[in-house]
Amino acid sequence: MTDAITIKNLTYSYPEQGQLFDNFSLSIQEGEWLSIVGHNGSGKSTLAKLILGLLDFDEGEIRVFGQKLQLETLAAIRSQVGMVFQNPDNQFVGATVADDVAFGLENRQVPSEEMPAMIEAALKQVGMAAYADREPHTLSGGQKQRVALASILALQPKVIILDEATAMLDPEGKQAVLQTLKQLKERYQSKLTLIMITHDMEEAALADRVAVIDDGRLVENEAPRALFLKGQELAALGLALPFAMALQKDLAIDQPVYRTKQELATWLSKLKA
Amino acid sequence: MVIKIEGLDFAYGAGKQSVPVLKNINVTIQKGMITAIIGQTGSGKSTLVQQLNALLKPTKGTVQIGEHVVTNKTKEKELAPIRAEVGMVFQFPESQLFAPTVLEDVMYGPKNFGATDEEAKKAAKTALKRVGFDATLYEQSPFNLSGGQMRRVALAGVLAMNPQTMVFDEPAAGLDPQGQEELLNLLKSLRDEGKTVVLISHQMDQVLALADRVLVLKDGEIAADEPVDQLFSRPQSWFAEQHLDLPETIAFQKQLEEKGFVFDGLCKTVPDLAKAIKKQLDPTKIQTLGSTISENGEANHE
Repeated sequence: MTDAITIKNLTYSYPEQGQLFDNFSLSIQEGEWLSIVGHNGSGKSTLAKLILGLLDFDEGEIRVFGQKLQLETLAAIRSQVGMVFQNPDNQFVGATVADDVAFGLENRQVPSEEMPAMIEAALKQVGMAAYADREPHTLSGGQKQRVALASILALQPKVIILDEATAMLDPEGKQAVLQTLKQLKERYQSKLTLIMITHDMEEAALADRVAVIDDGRLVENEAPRALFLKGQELAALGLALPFAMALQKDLAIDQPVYRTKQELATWLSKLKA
Repeated sequence: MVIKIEGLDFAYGAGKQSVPVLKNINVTIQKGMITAIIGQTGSGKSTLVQQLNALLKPTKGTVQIGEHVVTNKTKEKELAPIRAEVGMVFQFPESQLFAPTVLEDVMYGPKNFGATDEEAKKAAKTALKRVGFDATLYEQSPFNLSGGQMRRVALAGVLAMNPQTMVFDEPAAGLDPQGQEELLNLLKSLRDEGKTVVLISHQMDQVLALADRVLVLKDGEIAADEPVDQLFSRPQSWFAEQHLDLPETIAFQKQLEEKGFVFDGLCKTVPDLAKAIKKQLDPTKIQTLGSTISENGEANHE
């Protein structure tokens, strides 16, 4: 398997607050869906910024598809990695939804005659094609985040990083974004690597693997089904369990097994007196 | 201090261009309670709370805030005392930090309302302590802090002004579970001191755990205004119409009711729900099924 991103022996200190990462290593495989969780200030967002070369690290190396991140490769690497940020309102530059998607393509000097088809295709993939002529400020938060995703998809990245991209959305908007991500993953399979930074454990559970970061250290790194059995350890790291797992822990009637809400309800109905 | 809204309409803009947002609102925000305002994005929640400290004036109707009555004719200079009585914590308040140090940022509000440097510093330190902010970081630039720490500074900025009523718009969004819990405890302690707290939230579990009373907005109108228990006893279909979720415990409780479980009232917390479920399980079935699971380490997914 090829690594999409390889972080090796990374050392990074904040300008004023001292060391965050000391000898930090993490690999993300091509086509993998990885969630990164950890309490506020644990270093999740800083890690994303380091991968994109938005911050300079002190020692170690970051490779994106084998290419070492440095000044000379920055542009090449950024063309492969797209990022969606938390605040849907800070990501718009265009007067219309279509203009906004066009902006990134213009930056890449895509010939203008090729643009309309690319814009339409990108908006279609996030279910926003009908909104192409709308002004961004008339959209809901969930719609804005899907347009932000479309702007990135138009550039055909191999990796998309979402930094708490659903944190500001209402439940409907959040579901729409997560649904879109699932569809994209379905469509691109191993050609798309997703890295999702989140506080939401239900959301983290969608991934193939969850990395838990605590004050710059990688403390857990495994599939959600295994990770969420560690109730005590997670609580000690300031993390909550998904609802079904928290309820099972309080029921305390069997050896812990990972179950979704649906699975738990079905199982409980079998045990009913 | 009671806030009473009567016959309120509100529209952005005027004449042909005007966009109506709130229609015929009649509500009373009770003193010393936590009132939650919920509703889909675009239902008018943020516009409504901006009437509570006269950041927006009604297009029609009145808002009575303690002694002050605000109509569309009220002059701007009459509104200043209202702003001191009703503190507003906007969504993602950390985006509004501006001062070179944490301490100066929090001191800004009290100074703006006439406190001396010394008084402002004292108020700022008390407020920062209350939100659990690390005292060694007072002289740091707020922009070097993590998101969770920045949120604390922004909250302290409003607390330092010691307003009688505090409005929080999605205060826990983006915080980790521990940060969320600390914030919820802060809101409870404000209420217990007799402050009036208004909370906008999309997180129904938070509303269930905190609110005394809930206002539900739909398309700019009040769809419900009732005690929290009464609200969450409504059927799931009603919440679907409002585009709202049920709190997780209650949604799961309803899911089990469909499978024949019977509950006596609402289970507000996970431990309460676990207890109520456990009473209805068959110990022998637990033994047989429970042991098969522990032997092969797998659940029977059917």
